Amino acid sequence: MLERRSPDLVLIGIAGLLTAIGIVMVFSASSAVAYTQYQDTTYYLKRELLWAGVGWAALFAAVRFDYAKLRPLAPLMFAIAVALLVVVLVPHIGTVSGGARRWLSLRFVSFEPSELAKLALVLFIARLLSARADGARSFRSVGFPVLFCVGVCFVLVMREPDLGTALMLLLTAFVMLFAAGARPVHLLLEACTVVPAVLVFIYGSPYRRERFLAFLHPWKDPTGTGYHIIQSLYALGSGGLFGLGLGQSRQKFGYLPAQHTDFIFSIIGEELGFIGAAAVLVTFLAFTYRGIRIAMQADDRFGFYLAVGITASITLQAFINVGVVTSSWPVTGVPLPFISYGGTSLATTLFAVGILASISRGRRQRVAALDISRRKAS
Amino acid sequence: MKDKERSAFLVRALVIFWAFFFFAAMLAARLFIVQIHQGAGLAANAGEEHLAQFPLSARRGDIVDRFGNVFSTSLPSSAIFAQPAGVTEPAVESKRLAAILRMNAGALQRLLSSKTTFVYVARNVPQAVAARIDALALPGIGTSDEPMGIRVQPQSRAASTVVGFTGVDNQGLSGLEYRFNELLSGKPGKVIQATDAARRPIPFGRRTVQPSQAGASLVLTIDRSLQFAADEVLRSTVARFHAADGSIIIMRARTGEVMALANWPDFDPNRYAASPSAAWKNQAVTDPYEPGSTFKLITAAAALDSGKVSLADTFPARDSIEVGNRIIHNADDGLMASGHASETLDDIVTFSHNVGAAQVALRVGKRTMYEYIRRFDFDRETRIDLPGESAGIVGTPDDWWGSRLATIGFGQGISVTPLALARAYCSIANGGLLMRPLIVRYVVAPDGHVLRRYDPQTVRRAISSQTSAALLAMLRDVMKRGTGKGITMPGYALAGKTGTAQMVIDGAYAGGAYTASFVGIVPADKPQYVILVKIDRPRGAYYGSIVAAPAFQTLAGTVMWREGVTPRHADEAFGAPAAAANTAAGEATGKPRTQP
Repeated sequence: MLERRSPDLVLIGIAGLLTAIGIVMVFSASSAVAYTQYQDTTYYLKRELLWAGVGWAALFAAVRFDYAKLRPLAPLMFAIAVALLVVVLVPHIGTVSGGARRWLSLRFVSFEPSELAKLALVLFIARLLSARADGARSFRSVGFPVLFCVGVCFVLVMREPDLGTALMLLLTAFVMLFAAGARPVHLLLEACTVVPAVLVFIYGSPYRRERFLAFLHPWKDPTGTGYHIIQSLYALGSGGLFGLGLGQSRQKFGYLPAQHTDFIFSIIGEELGFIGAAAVLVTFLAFTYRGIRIAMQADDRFGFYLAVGITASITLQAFINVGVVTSSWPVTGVPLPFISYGGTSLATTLFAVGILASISRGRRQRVAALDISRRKAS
Repeated sequence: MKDKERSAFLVRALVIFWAFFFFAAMLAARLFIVQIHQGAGLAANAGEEHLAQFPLSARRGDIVDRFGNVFSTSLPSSAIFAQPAGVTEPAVESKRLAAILRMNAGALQRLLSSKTTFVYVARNVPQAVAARIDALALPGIGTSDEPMGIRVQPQSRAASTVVGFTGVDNQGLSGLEYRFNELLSGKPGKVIQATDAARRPIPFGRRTVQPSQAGASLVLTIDRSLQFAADEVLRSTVARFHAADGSIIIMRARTGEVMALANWPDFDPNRYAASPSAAWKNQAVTDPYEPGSTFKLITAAAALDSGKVSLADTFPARDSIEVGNRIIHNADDGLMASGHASETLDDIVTFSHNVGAAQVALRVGKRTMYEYIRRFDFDRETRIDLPGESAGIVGTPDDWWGSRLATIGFGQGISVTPLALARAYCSIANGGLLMRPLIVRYVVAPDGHVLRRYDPQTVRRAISSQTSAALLAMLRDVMKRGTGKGITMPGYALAGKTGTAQMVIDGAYAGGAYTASFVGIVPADKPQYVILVKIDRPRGAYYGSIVAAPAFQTLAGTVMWREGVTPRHADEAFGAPAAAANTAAGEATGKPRTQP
C-alpha cells in the first residue's frame, strides 16, 4: 500500500507557537496606534487573525498536497511571480507606501508580490538544482541559470525599492547553492559581484547612505536617521531581563515607528524582557533545526533543496530582522516571519511551512520499504 | 538518491544549521548587551522621553470690600470636549450643542466628525452651561472642570479703575489685579506624567502630582456702598456739566484708608476690551493736575507752621499784583478783595484770594514753601498699593523763577495727584499727621488666616496740631462765609475748600478748559472724613463751588449716614443766629451736644 508518513508535528507546533506569539504581540503593539488611527484597538488584530486563518488553511492544504507535484509547476509559478513584480512597478497599479511601490491592491486585499517571489524563487531554484546529481558543481549548466533568475528578481525588487527583501532573495539563493555543493570559488565570485552592486545602490543616494550607516552612530542624528534605531534600543533597554509585562510597552505609544511590523521584536523585548526575546530567538532556532532535519530526511533532491531553501529563507529573515532591531547592522526593513503584522508575509510563510511539512511526509511509497531505506541511508 | 549524494547533503545541511546556530548565538549576545548591559541607561533615557509636564492652574483669590462684598472672584468653569468616535449623530448633536454654546453648527459638526480621539469643543464655560450640556447626555460629548475658573467682577463698573481686570490666562493686567497678581494667582501645580508621542497620557509609567496652591484674597479698605454712592454722584455730576472726566476720593482722615475711589470714565472689567484703554486708568492716582485754590491750604500751612505768618498778620487787600513781570489777578469765583484795606490769612483762604495767597507765598519764601511741599510728600508717590502712581510735579526752588513761587501759592505752576491732595487734607483733619494711603486692609490665605495686614502707617508729622486746628477753622469759615457758603448740611458742621484751575494741556494753559474741584472734611467739629471731588472740563459752569461742591454735599450726607455719625449742631444747621456762640462754646469744651 502506498502511503505517506505523518507530517512533522513538532514543526507545525513551532509554527503554531510563533503564530500565536505573533497574534498576541501584534495586538499588544498595535492597539494604541490602532486606537488613535481608527478608534478601534483591535483593528490590526482582526486583520491579522483573518490572515492567520488564511495562512493556516494554506498550511494544511500544503501538508496534504504532494510537494513533488510542485516541481513541474515551479517554472509557471516563477513566471507569474516575475510578472507580478513587473506589474507592481507600473504606476497607478502598484500602490506606493512609505516611498516604495511594493503593493498590489485588489478590491478587498492588497498583497506584496515580493513575498510571493521569495517562495516562487526557492521553488524554481530547487527545481533547477535537483535536475543534476552533482547539484551546482557545474557553473554553466546550473550555477549560472540560478544566478540569472535570482538576478532578475533582485533587480525588480530593488526597483521598488526594497533592499531588505532583495538581499533576502540573494542570501537564500546563496545558501541553496551552498547546499547544492557549489564550488567555494563560485560562491566567492558571486559575492564579489553582488556586494559592489548593493554598495552602488546605497551610496547612490545620500539619504540611503545616511540611513544605512545610521546604526553605527545613531545618536548623531537622534531625531532623523537615527530615530528608528534609538527608539528600538529604548524599547529593548526598557525591557531589561524580565520586561515591563505583556501589554505594558511605552514605546508602542507612537514613539517606535513600525512597532507592529518591522520593529515588533523590540516590543517583545520591552514587554517580555531578555527572557522573552531570547525565547523567541530559541523558538526560531528550533524551527531551523526541524527544517534542516526535514531536509536531511527528504526522500529526493527536490525535497532536500526545497526544505533547505524554505528553512533558510524564513530563518535568515528572522535573524536579519532581529539584527536590525538590536542595531547590529543597518536597517533594511524586513518583517519578522510569523510575528510581524502583514497578511501576505504571514500567509506565504505558513504556506511555505506547509510545504516543509509536506516534505517531512515524504513521497508516496511502501511504508515497510521506507523504514529500511531510511536506516540504510543513515 | 545515492548514499554518497545523501551523505554530502547531510554534511552541508549540518554546516548550514550550525552556521544559523552561530548566527543566533551572536544575536543573543547582542540582545544581552542591549537589554542587560546597556539596559538601565537606555531605560532611563526612554523614561525621560516619555515624561511630560502638565500645568495645574491655581484658583485665583478674590478681591472683596471691607465687609466682604465681592468685587472680583473666580467662578468654577468647565471644558466641553468630544470623543468623535463615540458621537453617533454629528449633525443632530452639533446643532444642539451650537444652540447652547452659541457656536457655528457647521464648524461644530466638522469637529464632531473629525478623525481624532479627543477634541475640546469649548474651554472655560460657566458651570451652568456645562450642566445644561450634561443634561442632554449626548453620546461622545463630555464636560470636565477647569481649575482656573472664570474671572468675574459682579459689581461691574464699581471701583473698576481700582480693582482692574485680568487677561485671557487670568493674569492681572491693571489695578489691584495687576499689583497683587502674584499673591492672587497662587502657585500653579503640575502633573508629571508618562505620555505617548503626541503628549497624551498613557496608562503606564510615572505619574506625580504636585497640587496647585490657591491664591490669596484681598480685603480692601473700600466700602462698596460708599463706592456706589461716589460712582453715582460722579457720573451724574459729569453728565450734568457735560464734563470730560473726573475723580472722587473718600478717605478716612485718621487712618489714611481709602473708603471710595471713583473715576470717570470707568469700564466694565468683565468686558474691558469694549472700553478704550484710557478708561482703564486710575487717574486719581496716575494723573497729576494743577489743583488751583485747594492748594492755598498748603500755602497757609507753610505760613502758619513755620511761624512766618500769624493768624493776626494782615496783607494789603488788592485785586491784582505784579510779580516777576506777571500780573496776578483775583479769580472771579473768589470774592473780590477791593473795598477792604487789608486781609488776614483766614480771609485769603475763605474768599480764595489769589493775590493774597501770592503775597503769603512770597513772604514764606522759596525754601520754606518747598520744605512744606515736601513735608506733605507732594514731590513723591504716596506709596498707595496701586500701580502706575505718579508723583506730583513740583520742581525745585532753583527752577522757581519769575512768578512761580507766587503762583504756587494759589496752586498754579504745581501739579499733584488727587490722591496726594486728599491725603494732605487728611493730615489737616487728623491733627497734622501724614498717613500712608491704604487701599488694601488684609491679604487673606485661602484657609482664612491673615497673611499680611496693612495697619495705618504714619509717614511723619507734617504740621503741628495747632496749625491743623487753625487750618480747619479756616476751612469752616470757607463754608460759613466764604466761597462755600451755599453748601450746608442740616445737623453737621462742614469744612472745605473750592478750587478752580485752568487746565494745563500739553504744557500750556488751555483757554476755556477748567478743573473744578472741592476738598471737604466732615464732620468739621470732629473731623473724620475727607472727600475730594475733581471735575475736568465742565461746561456751562466751571467754578468749584458750583460744579464740585454740590457733589461733596451729597456725598458728605451719604458718608455720615453710612458711618453712623449722628447729626449735631441743629442750631447751626437750622441757622439760628443766637446759637452760633453756643456752638463755639460746645466745640471748645469738646462735648458734643446732642439734640433731643
